[in-house]
Amino acid sequence: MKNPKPKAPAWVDEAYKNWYRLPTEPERQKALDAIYKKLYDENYQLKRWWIEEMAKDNVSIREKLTLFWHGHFTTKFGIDNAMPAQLMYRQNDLFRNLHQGNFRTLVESITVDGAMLIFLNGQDSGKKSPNENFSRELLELYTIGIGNYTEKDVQEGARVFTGWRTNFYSDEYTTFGVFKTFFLINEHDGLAKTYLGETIPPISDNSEANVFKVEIKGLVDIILRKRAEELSLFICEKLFRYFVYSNPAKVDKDVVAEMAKTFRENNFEIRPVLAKLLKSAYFFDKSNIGTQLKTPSELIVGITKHFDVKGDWKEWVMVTMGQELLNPPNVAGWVGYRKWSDTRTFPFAVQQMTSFLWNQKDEDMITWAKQFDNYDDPKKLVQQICTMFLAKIPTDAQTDKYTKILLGGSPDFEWTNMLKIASTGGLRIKYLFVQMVKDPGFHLS
Amino acid sequence: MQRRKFLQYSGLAGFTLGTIPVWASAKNQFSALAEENDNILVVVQMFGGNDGLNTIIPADDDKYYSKYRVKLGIPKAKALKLRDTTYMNPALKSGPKDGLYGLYNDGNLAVIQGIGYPNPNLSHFRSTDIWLSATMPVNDAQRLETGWMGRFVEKINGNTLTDHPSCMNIGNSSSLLFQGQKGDLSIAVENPNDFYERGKDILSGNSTVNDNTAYGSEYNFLLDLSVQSNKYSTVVKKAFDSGKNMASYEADKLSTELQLVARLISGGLKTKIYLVSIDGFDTHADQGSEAGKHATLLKSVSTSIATFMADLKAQKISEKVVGMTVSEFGRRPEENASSGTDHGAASVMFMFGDAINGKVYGQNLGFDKLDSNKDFIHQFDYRRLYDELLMKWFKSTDATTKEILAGRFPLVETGVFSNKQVLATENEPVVLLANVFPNPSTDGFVNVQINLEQKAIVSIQQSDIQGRNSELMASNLLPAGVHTIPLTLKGNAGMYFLQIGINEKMEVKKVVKMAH
Repeated sequence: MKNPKPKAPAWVDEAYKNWYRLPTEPERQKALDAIYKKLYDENYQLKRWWIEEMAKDNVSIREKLTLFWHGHFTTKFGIDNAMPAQLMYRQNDLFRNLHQGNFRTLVESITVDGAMLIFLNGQDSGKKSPNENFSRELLELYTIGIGNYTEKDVQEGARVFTGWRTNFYSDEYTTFGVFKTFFLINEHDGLAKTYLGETIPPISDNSEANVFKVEIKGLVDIILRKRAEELSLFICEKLFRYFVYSNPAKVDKDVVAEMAKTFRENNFEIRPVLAKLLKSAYFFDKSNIGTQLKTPSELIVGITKHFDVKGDWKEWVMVTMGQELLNPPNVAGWVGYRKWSDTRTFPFAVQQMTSFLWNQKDEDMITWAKQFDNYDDPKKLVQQICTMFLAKIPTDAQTDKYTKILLGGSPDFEWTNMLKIASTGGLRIKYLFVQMVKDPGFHLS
Repeated sequence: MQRRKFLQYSGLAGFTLGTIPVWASAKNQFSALAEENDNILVVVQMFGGNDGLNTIIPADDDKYYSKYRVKLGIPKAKALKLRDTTYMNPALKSGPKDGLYGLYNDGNLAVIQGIGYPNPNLSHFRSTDIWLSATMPVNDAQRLETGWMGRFVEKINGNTLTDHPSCMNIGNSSSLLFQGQKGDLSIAVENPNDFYERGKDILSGNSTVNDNTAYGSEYNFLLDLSVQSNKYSTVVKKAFDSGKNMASYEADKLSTELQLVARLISGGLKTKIYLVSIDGFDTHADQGSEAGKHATLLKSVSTSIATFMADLKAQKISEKVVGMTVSEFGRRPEENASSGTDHGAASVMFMFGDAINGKVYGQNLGFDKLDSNKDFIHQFDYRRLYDELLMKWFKSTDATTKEILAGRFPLVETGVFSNKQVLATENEPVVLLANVFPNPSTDGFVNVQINLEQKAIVSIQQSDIQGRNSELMASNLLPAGVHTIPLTLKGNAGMYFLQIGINEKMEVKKVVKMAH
């Protein structure tokens, strides 16, 4: 099935007006306030745009993987420095384009990605005392994991990454173009570096293209060659936890080793790894079904596919539950697994699902129910609704329990009559949902 | 053999659950504690790695300004002098009664310099886990799965069920600090009214799934959450409604969280450990000097803690609360090119409360001895404070502490708890043979005689009956044998206590100085 690429928000190429050349402090402050408001508004719009794209993507794992890479190569807009949504969009687009692409290309691209340069301080790292922020996270979180590098590697990597910049003010660095990454040779440390035991030679040709080739691509190549085993296991374990079972203590090492082997043998292409996993008997094994705690986005996207909602409810629920898109808690992204659910978030989710469903129009509930085959048979209707929303196909006992709730004590044959009156039938379906959202099975997938 | 449990979760009380966090209120049958008390610990987590060097400042050291903190140094004229060559960031004077600086002057703030651990890890996440688990991993692959408080509470509670949650995480998701072998021992609360509204209707009437599958395990985990929420939301709401605040808090996250803690304590909640947090200390760029990003964070820490303590004091409930700050590491001594600082190692931390002997511990962070990564080397292992907390504050036994921390750790100097607190410890084992003579002393001179079976670190501290301390002999390594140490008692005539520390043990001797 076709899954057209989403249309970008209207403002993605709008540069920010320069403020620092304004003559007086009050003018500068006013302009700056306007910029921060714009930054906030547009990032907010981008969040909403993405949630809607997620709900539309019923046919592929593109948005699910885009979110995976966002949580992996984290960048967040909620920082002290200005983080333009235009750059966040470009990064999001990068993940979407390469969601099943080549991992080497992903790493090379993220290294000079504008939003990343701002988030992990590449933007203000220079030749003297280079900033180590990106260099460390590249090894610790993005590629090979802790224990597979030394502090010296972090320091040497930081030297490699010096001199890369992005701009988003209309007339700053006009020669380079807005929202483009560019290179300042004067801020770059071009001497030789030793990285993971290999030498990156001093640069002779100062052009941006050459420095990118020799140093950035060269460094990524060293990681992929020298730490192929560690990297492939690190990334595949994360994919396993994302798709199969997120409990870090229950990772199937054999399956991950198989995936990692495929990853290495296919030049770090992501698609063959996923194809192997998602088509395997293992993935469909009964013991691996219904084990994943739903993420806030899955919960929200899952329910709003069926029922309408106005306003910022979706964003608000996700933020409260700890998953604000484009703004993960920190550079490690969302920890996931049981971090999603505690005595604060779980009762909140149940309450919100309840009120969301309770506020639907009765007639809309009836219309919705009539999409199911044999909707006038209460037992068959309940069976289908439970199969759709609970982690596992309902047992007979569960079906009986929920059918009783649907009917509210009336005999089965009354259901066709109840359906005729929206305020009765619609209300009964709401009662069913109100009970179902308390069921732990509703929060697993 | 698998013992099957058929546990019906209903709205009625009377169930028993091994995984629900509780604090044994009855006599503890496990003897994990020497005695029960209602002492409370508040852990303030400063995530991101707080810059110790700009928090407590060696402002008399030229290298601080000329080499390491050329742009970011806190001007000496602005820094607050604590003692000899040790100064405090002026942002820590923020808040009621001069903030943390005021708490220090009142003797209620311990400033522990050079805190850290061997082979420092510079990852935020790994180092945070090392602090919260109190475990030194043998390699980077070792998973750290339980927290020191989680292990302790699990040990104390056993399978007993009481009515109040033992550990509470304010406003955040679950923390490694509270993970026990069987799961999370804390509940998370942000707003007790919301918690109550959501918790009262949450029970589904479903039963546990006992099929030994991953699905069953996650299903039961969520079912447990609904049971805990239903039970504890009522308890927490009750405490919240009968509690109060008697100080005016700022609106920042940390202040709001501490305000809630104070109100719950005031309302009689029996929770033993609270975790609150503030984020943003990862100041790689534009850290600022006496104003700016770091100063704003310290201001928030100072204001919120000082308001919290003022609140507790006004309600006369401050005696049973102590707090500690934890941050995963300090920053690199040398600033970077982005007007910021990169990840470092040893740092400084604070402990606060009436029971704390407020003073500066340890030497200033010094530039002469840095590690191979040019980071500060720690003077004190952070587990020395955990050990003292367990023993003196929670009245843990030697065996329990040994189990929780995988060993015992000596006091930081003579210990950060004040003498009053030590005197309250009836079960402190008397282990040494220390003699003080002449006693009473007519001229203020006394001799302390100690018999050491082997070489040991010995310290002697004098305190008056209000718990005010002065050091008579700093930590000294003495060889085995009998030592007679002549000392001059400080202060006017009256009764004093001598705290004699030998490694991690402590003995207190009463001594009287006569008027003449």
